[in-house]
Amino acid sequence: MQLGPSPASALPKPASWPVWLLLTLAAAALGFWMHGAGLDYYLSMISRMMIYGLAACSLNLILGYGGLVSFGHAAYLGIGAYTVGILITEGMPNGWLGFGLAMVVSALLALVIGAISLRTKGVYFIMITLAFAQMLFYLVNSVKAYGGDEGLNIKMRSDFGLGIVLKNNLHFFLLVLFCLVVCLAFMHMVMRSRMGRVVLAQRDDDIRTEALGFAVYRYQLALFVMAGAIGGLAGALLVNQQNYVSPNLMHWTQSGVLMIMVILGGVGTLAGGLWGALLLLTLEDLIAEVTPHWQFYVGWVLLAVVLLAPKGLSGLPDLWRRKPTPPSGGDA
Amino acid sequence: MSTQGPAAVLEIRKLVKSFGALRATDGVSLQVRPGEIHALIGPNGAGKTTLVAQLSGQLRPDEGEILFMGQVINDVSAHARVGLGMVRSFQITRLFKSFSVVDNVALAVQSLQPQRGSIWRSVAKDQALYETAMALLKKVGLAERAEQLAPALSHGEQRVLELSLALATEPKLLLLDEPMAGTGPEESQRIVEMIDSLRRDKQMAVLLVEHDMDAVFRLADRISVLVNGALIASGSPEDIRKDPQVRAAYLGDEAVSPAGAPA
Repeated sequence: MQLGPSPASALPKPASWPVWLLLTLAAAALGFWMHGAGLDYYLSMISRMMIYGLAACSLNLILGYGGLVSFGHAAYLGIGAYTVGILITEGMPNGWLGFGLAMVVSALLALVIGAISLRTKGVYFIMITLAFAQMLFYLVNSVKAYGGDEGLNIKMRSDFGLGIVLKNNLHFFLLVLFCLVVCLAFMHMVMRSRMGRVVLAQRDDDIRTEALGFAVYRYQLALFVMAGAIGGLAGALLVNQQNYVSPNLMHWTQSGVLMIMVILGGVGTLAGGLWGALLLLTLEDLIAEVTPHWQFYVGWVLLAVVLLAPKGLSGLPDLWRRKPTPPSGGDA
Repeated sequence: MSTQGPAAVLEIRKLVKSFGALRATDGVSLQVRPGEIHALIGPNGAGKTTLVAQLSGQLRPDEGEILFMGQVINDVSAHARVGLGMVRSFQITRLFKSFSVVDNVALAVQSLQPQRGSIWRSVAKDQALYETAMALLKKVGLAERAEQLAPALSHGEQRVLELSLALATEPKLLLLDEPMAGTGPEESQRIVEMIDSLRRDKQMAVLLVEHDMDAVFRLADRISVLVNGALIASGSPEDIRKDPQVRAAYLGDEAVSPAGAPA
């Protein structure tokens, strides 16, 4: 008999590799077609959505899988963007250096913020992550050498060599797609590993997990650092997409936007953040053309999703198949 | 005077823990010897759960020492104590709700392994892990329920699973906080037999906190009585049964049990 986790379990399902491979190839094909058809403007817009999707997916790692409501995730996005922006401004456009350093710096930042805030729980954790992010927001605002509150324009994009030209919208799109796929694969690997099991267990009951011999704090911190590093990578991509970074990227409302993306797409699902980002930014663009009050209408969509599809967009296939999502327990 | 060092699996020396003015643990000293079931009884609010929480590392004692296998473990964190070989169960069932029964046990088995936090291998494909978990479930009679989500189990089955999680870590000392809480007579019987077999087959030492007096007198080699945070008696079941102080405070007359703070 094949032993393994039961189908009823809410643990991550094995990846459907063919589907993911197909989606990746389709996305790449779409990119080539759009570039060929002269739709570069839209291609760049899709790149931007995917970057936000990557940031939201990294937030989902701690918020969804870890059950740790971090309200300061935009900080990593911003620090990653500023790291690359500052390096380029200082005449160091090397992409390997810039992207690598963006991830290292945001990982270190996550290590410090996580080490402190993970000692608290619940509302305190939410507030302390928010407080750290706002501190960074004001710090960056005050650094006049790199634009202060006016933000930082970059004169050129990161340079990876190897014939990769990020000014080319197709090249840039393919780089974003590559980063996204690698990060999602990494997160999938982590969540089905032993570490992932402990992460899901502590979400259910941290004291019980500790009492079984797991150093819960260390697992939470490791998860926090992974999410921070991936958030920093998204920031490194974003500054290249916009040719610009401003402190507003780190404002707490940005952290809120990332959270909305996660909720729309599906809390605690691998690609939920991506679907949420695609939906939210598409809605924003479409509705903003008609009315400046787009947030009002997006609010209704968010409400509908929360009430009708608790697992967000990622749960829709199950709803359509009339297959109930795992029962939420006898007394819930 | 008493036997020294490893003669006791667990030794507590003059343990004190206060919450404000309440001395929840008031100079408690006791020993659990190898292969022994040592029962701790006492009325509600006597401080039994507080004591277990200090032993397992969720709470820090204010004064006194906790020795495990002759080593002072006051400063050892809760998770590291499991690694040393002592594990607790909980009075309120604490299972992993989004895990199936077998996944619950597999997690506990995983905690024994040196690469318990590895990010590389898929757990779902770890046959050895699931075989160990299934073997344990067969032993405790939950094999047929392995694929169910933990909350789908009956209360009694959940108590058995709760106990099985602790067992899966293969402890030298088991701290059981009211394992029969809320179970019916048949389920209690099942758990009594389970605990009895641990002593018989594995020479496991057990500190048993329990309200069910039938179970206590069936299982215990020694009994200590905790009232208002302090031990008022300690001895063989026979001695405890005869002790007039215990009778007055507790046994046979639940109605006059001192009204301490709620548990």
